[in-house]
Amino acid sequence: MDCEAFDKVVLDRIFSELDDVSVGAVQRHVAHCSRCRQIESSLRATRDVGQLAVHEVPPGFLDSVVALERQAHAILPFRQRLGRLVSVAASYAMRPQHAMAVLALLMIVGSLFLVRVRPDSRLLVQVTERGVPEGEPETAAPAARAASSGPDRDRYAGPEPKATAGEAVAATELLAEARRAYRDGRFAEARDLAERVTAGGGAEASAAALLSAEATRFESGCEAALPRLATIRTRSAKSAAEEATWHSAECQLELGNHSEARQLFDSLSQSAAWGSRARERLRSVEPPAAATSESNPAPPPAAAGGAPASP
Amino acid sequence: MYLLSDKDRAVALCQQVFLDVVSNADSFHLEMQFRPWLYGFFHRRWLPLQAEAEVTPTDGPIADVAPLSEEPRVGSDPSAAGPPSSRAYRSQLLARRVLERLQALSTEGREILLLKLVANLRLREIAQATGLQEDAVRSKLRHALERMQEAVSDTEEYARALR
Repeated sequence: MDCEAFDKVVLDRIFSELDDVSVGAVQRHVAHCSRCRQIESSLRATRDVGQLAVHEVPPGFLDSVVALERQAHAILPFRQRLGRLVSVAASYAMRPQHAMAVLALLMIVGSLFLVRVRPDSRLLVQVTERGVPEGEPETAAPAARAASSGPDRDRYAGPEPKATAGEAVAATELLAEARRAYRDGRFAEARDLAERVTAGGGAEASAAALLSAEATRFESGCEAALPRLATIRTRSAKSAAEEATWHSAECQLELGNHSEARQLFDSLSQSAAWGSRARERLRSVEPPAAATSESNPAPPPAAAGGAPASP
Repeated sequence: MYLLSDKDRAVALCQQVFLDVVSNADSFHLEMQFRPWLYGFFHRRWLPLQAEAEVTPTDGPIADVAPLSEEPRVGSDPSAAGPPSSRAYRSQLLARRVLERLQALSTEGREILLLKLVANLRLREIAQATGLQEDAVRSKLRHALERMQEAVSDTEEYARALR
């Protein structure tokens, strides 16, 4: 440290506001600099000698201050008083503890909206074997579905649900009964029974759907059966789809739609099970011969057996 | 009191400063230092009063200092008669000299010196209260101390303090 630097910090030094590092530097400098040593000692002596006495607070001073403050507060305009209240309230509201308390309160109140109104009612719900609550009508039952009238494409739209072993036995018996009714010419009964099997799902669902479509064909005509056959063609397994295609083609021939029939037979021409028959039918429905072949639909019982008739 | 040279005006100034502090209490934050904040109100209230006092000077703080003791002195002029033997007399004489020199200081120099010696503010706090730069505060304070030194350098107390 030199004398110039000392002059900058001498007041900090005599009023004890210097940090420890600078104090050491000043002490080293003062130790060998008489000028700075004299300046420091003279300023320090002046500081000590020039101490001024502190005046006592006059009696009644605090009371007068309080009275003045009350007076000033009383004459404040309403807006200013309101602003003061708001600022005091805001200073409380901005404290972190209060903000956290408000947040916690909001979370608690918000969670009340997620609580069920009657949480114990959930325990009282009992379901039937099919998963329908006991108190509600079992609208999804197969019997109820089968009782509905008219074509219903959505009934075949979804994937076949898995049936239990008991249901599979019941479906097989139902399907056998439906086939018997079909063979006996009771097409409406056969269709209803087959639809019950289809609605229940399982391995027999596709065969039942085919049987239902064929029963519909012989009961209500090809126009009613074609939508069902089309659904089977697009949604069922390959064998059932091919059989449905064959019956669709026959129906189209019956309705006089030769081009649609040819397309359907043509789509079966490469099939291992239906290819030879389809190619033969394609030849028979050639445009010149179309008029003669239209009057030869396939015999119904052969197709309704759930399996291809001749292949 | 030392600044305004009048007891009633000093009391009125303090009352005003207290009212300012109460009415502006919400402007104080925890990260602030209280004393510079407080003396900032004092500084802003004192400046116009000081300007008014310069127009109508009063007797000064010397008028409030107790009169000098009767004796012990040989002649009527204590400085001509040599150093008085009474310690109380010497203290009064020293206080009178300090107050006279205090009045002779500039307004800023007097305020800074009093904020340091009486209010015991740090240099940085004085700068915050008065709105001056810290180096300016150092410069003015050193100048005031040197002027004060001229007034007391021939006293026995000063010589004793030097030792």
